[in-house]
Amino acid sequence: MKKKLFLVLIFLLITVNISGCWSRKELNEIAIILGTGVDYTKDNKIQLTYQLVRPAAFGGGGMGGGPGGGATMNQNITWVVSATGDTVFDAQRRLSQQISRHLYLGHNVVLILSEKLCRHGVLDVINFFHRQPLSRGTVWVMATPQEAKKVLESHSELQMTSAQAVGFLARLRTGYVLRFRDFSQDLASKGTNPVLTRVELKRLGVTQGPGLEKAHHHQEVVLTGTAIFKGDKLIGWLNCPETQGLRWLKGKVDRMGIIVPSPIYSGKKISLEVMKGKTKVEPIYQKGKIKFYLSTEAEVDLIEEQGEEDFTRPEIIKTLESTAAIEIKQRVKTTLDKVQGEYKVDSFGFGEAFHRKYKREWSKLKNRWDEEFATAQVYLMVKVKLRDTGMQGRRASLKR
Amino acid sequence: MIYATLILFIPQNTVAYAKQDAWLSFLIAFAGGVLISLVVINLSLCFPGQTLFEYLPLILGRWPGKIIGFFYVWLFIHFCTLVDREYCSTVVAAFMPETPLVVFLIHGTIMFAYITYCGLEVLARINQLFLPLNVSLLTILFVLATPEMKVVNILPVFDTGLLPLAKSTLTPLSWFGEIITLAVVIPYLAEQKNVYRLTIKALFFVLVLIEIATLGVLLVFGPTLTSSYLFPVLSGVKMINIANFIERLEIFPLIVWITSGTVKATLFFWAAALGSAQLFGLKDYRPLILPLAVIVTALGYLLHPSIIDLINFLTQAFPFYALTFEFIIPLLLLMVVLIKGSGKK
Amino acid sequence: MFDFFKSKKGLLPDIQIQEAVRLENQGVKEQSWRSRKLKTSLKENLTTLHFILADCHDVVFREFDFAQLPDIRLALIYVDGLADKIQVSNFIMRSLSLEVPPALPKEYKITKAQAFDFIRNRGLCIHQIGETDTLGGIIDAVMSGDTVLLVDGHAKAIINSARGWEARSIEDSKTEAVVRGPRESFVETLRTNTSLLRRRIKNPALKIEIRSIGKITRTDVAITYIKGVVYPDLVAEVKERLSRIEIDAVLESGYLEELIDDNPLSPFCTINHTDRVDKVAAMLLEGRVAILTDGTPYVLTVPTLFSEIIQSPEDYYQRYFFYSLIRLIRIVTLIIFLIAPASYVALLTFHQEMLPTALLLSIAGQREAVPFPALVEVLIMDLTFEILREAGIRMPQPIGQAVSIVGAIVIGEASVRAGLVAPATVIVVALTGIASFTFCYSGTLPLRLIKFLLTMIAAFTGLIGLICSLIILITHLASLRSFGIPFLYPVMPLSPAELKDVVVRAPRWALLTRPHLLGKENLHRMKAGLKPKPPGKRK
Repeated sequence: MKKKLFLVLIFLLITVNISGCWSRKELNEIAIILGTGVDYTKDNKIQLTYQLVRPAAFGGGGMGGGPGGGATMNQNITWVVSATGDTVFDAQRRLSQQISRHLYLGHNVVLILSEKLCRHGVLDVINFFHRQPLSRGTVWVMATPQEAKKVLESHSELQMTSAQAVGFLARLRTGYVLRFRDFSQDLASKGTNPVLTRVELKRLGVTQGPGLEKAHHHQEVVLTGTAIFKGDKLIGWLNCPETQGLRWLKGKVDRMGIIVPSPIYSGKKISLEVMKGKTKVEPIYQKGKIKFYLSTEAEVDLIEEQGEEDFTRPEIIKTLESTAAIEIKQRVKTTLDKVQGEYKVDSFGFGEAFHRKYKREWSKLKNRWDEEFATAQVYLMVKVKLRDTGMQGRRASLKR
Repeated sequence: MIYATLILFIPQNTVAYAKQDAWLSFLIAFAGGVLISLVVINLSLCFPGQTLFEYLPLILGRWPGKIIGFFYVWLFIHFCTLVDREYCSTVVAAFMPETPLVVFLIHGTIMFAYITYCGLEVLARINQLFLPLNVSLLTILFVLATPEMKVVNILPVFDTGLLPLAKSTLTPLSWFGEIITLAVVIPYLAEQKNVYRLTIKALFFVLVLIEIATLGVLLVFGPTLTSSYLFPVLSGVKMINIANFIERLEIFPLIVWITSGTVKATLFFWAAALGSAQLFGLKDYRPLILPLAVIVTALGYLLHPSIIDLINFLTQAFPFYALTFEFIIPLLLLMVVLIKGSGKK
Repeated sequence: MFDFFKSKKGLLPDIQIQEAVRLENQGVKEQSWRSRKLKTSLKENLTTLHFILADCHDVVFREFDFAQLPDIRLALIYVDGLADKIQVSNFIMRSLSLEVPPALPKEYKITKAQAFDFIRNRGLCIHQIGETDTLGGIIDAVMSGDTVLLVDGHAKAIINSARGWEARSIEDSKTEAVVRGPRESFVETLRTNTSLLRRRIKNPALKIEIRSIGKITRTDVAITYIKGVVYPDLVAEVKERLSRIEIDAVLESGYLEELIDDNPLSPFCTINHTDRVDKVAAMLLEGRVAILTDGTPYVLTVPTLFSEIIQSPEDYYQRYFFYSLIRLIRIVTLIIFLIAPASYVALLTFHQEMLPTALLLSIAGQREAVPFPALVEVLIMDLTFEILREAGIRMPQPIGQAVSIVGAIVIGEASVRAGLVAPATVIVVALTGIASFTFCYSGTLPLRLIKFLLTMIAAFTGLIGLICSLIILITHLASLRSFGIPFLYPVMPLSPAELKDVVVRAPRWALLTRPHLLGKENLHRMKAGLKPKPPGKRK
């Protein structure tokens, strides 16, 4: 009796499991999405673009692919498809009716939102990517003044796909980049307005190689600045130098280059690289007036000098440090003027700093924070410290 | 046997509903948990060698005792069902949305049933493996997630005020209150003398684990985003990306969930099986495993139509319901014992 | 057979013929002669023995006259091939039939009644002799290779231990190789094996208790332990379990293993075996009991812990740093071995989001043209590996190795080329296969079985099913006991201090105690504080 019962149980278990395989998707049944783009069409619909990879192009040595597994010429690596719909899912549904595999979002690298959509407001589309179990917070989110579809319809010379190329580019943090998690956090917070990385498809370089003598101009996706939002709507752009100011204000300046005029030789420049920098925001609320004291500290390395300053002498270093501080201040001021003065939004998280210090006042101010912020005074204090001078102390040409 | 009480490891899907200062509310809940455990231990020590189900009739008389005993059996079945359902829902929602829930419920139940069949000792032993495993996994994940963390995310402290804080304490308190299972476990502990020390140690341990998870999630996401996620820990782990290689570590919270959930649910299952056996006057609880397993699976499937319903129940109704059994009834029992002067053999 | 009776018919009265027929027809069923006493008449005894040993052409009956008293007839019985012929002819026959003991005075006369004692005390040059007065005793002695001397007029027999048969010489261990450490391994002869043990533990506390098991084979089984180290209840339990066995034959220690196992329904064997002498000696010194079986080099050691699978005798001979690393590697290997194919299948069919993007794309590229689902692919390769391994073992030695290596390379390479299998799958399966060679062969058998099961489960329910099955597996292991000791000790129940001999191999001067559950009789192995110090700091 006991044995029979046991057998029945085992049988049930096996049947339940084998007849199952509900969530099972073989690797060659999924279409891996590497890049996602969302556009807003003229008839007010949402256009969803996916950059799908064709895995066969990635086959290692085994299947007759060349050594190293690189794609050969005239071989399609990605396939960019798009469809329009009322919602993101509506568009995806249309796509999945046309594509022979399951659309697989788990490896999405980049989400590109077009300017038109951003100006309309991103809340309409962002939720899809929150609720998808496969979507991740590590996806790079970017805005483009071009059409998102056009940006994804590109390839990269160094990487296999342009989506991966953008991902690697973002990882280097040469611009102000942020991921889906950061963007959603900013979007949800009342103390800061979100910003997005700006990307564009630009002609970049010339590809070279035997058989490529006919110059072949290549278009690559590059970072070109920052998009400024008010709430969920885009209101303006910052270019690359202004983005550097934004990075100072956000305190994310590692590996940023600064070019300062030489304090001694006029017309000559000195290149510095920021190794470590942080910005402290100290809000002061007095008599209904808001003031922010920013203190920035930076450690920089000397990269090159055009003149012949002797950096073994402490007083030269002192002068350089103060010149660099002025340069940084200038950068920050330009950005601040544009964002605070022109766009009248707080993109820097100053509201959150205010919240941390003045809890009670914040609950009164938070709903009209941007207006309050537009009138706030911002004071800046920059301290620069030269850390290293590279492999050289004095220039070799410098006579004693 | 020592660590058998360390099972109160709490699946994190309800952390989302704790407020801004969630990590503080756990501290308060911990204090409450200690209070509850003191009541339970004192009660149990009045009747050495006997479980809750054995001394209930002694305190309240044969029939009232048995009826309350049945309520407790139900409570343990319900606890078990809830834990089972919690992690099955998690798995379905986060990993395998196409798979029917009942498949995982059956998996879960097979595990409880088998471990219960092997006995409390085996449960304690596997816990000795899973506990260090889970602690180290959580710690490693916490460390790996540090690049994503910002201290400003948990500032300012005490932002929401005292009342919301007190409210948010209720749910974790009812989790800590699951230490009521001690009333059944204590007679089986090897070291009766150290039971106070062990319990406090166990609770403290649980607190540390919860704090690691909660703080980690809050530091990564900040309060607003955290409370919008159903499974913040999972989302937090998804953020980990070190050198483009140490990434996509979702499997580890999954391991932590399943192992700790299994141990916890099994303990409740065992308590329910033992309790019903003792109430029916059976010598061995093993024949009751199969019917109980069927009940748990069916309840797990039927009690809540969706995960939102489950979470609503856990955050809104559950604390009051659970705390009645976890705190108020044991407290009343203890008072009766002290007044009547029964027990203390 | 009846010819034999006919020829003897004239000699024997009818009643004895009936008796003889009965004796011969008994076979292994009854053996009523076992307890029968010898008669005084040599002729009668010999006839009876002839009947019992009918058709055993390897048994030699040699009758001759005693030199001292020619009217006394003696008979030697031995098995040709088991007895040492040189000893028998030189030191038994020669001394009895030809020579007079030199110290004996000429006039010394022995009577018939004294003959037996005289022969026993002065007539034999054999190192070990014994006496018996039953037929069973004689038959047992003859069958185990002793030479039995019957003396006419005496209802007793002398057992001369003059054994000598062809045996395999002591060789390297075939199943557990080491780089550093003794090479000797056990052989098929029990006596040689006990001597090997005794040579390592020169102490009367090493007890070797021999009993015979098997109604037909009458195999000698030795229970060995070190008194004062082993927990007495354990020895009692081993004896109790062995004495319950009633079986016709014990051809290998595996027969005993399955009959004394604690967990007959588990795929895991909770009794370890080894043919390494040093390993058995170490086991005895930890407080275990070893069961040596005649006819096999494999010695059972009880109780067995799961952790033994990752311990090798060499760990204790080489420097501890590297071998601690090796221990860790073995643990990792064990995990890889058990779950690598399963998690590969689960990741590829359910949880593609958990692979790094570049890896996923590369695997996806490889698998693009593969016509099978991942499960089938892995199973095909795994099965191929098992077939190759089995073939490698069964094949005649000289070609075995070549075929298995060539087969592996050819099949792996060809199936990848043909696009039947992705290269990544070959890597995973080959890694798993090679991982299994890290452990002693038989320890991996249950794991190999479970590996297949896990792969299937993972293919149907993904990592969740895999984790659940692993929990059940761990629960099962945790519920096992080997002679009362939890199988997973010292991990479960946790004994943190003892993990230093499991997870890593602590230096000798830190391994102060025997495993606590095994060696509680005599916990301390050595004096504390033996860590070498420079001379100046010594007290």
